[in-house]
Amino acid sequence: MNARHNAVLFEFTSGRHAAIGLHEVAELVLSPRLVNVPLAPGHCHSLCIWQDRAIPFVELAPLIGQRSLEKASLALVVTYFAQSNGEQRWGALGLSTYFRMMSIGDDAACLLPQDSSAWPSIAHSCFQLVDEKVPILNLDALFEQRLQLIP
Amino acid sequence: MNTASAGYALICFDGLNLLIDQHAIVSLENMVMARDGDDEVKASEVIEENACEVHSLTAHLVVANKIDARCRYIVVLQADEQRFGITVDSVQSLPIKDPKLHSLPACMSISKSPIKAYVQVEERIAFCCDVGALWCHINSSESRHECEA
Repeated sequence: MNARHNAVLFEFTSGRHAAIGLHEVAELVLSPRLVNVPLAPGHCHSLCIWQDRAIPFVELAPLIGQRSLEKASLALVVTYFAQSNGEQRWGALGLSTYFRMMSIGDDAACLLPQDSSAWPSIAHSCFQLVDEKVPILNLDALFEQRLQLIP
Repeated sequence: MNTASAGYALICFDGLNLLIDQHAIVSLENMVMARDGDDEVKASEVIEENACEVHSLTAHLVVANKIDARCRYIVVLQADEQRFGITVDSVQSLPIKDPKLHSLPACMSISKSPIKAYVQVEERIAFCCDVGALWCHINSSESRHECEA
């Protein structure tokens, strides 16, 4: 790990990336054990069993109108503090491939992608990576509120 | 969230584990399949003694368009004024004392869903199911998709 790394970049569906703070990463889980939750929204249809906890498993693709992963073979366990009570919580993000750590500076900041109205609800900010706008996720917003899927 | 005083039954169908308030269970019937003239198993059946509809549900709580003939039992449930049955593979008392109920994460909760909480039962996750809300769900258009049991 480079001391200057401050973010983790991951692909959530083919060719599309998002990022979170490096300090928010708990563990990468291969072949996560998922339990379907009846009637749960399409982007968080399962609980992920991790270290004897059942934590919500979220996929970003359905939130922006894209198809879910065919098979969830990678889950990035993340941690955050709930704004409502300051309690530490955990969640899992579905990845389509391995993540990488990187350094993001303020000079890379840009506007959020315009392809989905969901981004302002779930992203803190955004940065430009070559020709892609990469949202930086707000984990409290992603896991602690009920989001509407794009039909 | 902890409702340790409640008595629960653990029912299983299509790989789904549901916790049902034991007081909502009217009876447990052996699966006796009635077939109509062309040997098609109907989507719902009526148990004459209890005079109620019987449905098969999938693991996603979708009402199957045929009764699942692989199930061994029918659990007859009482929801307020309504009595109905669902087909199940197994029924047992909850095998743990003082179960710790966890609310579903906020991102998963849906106001009208009969599923509001879960409990870890040994290696399994079982979902607490409100029988009244389940009956409302079974009768909603959202519960009826094209599927095979």
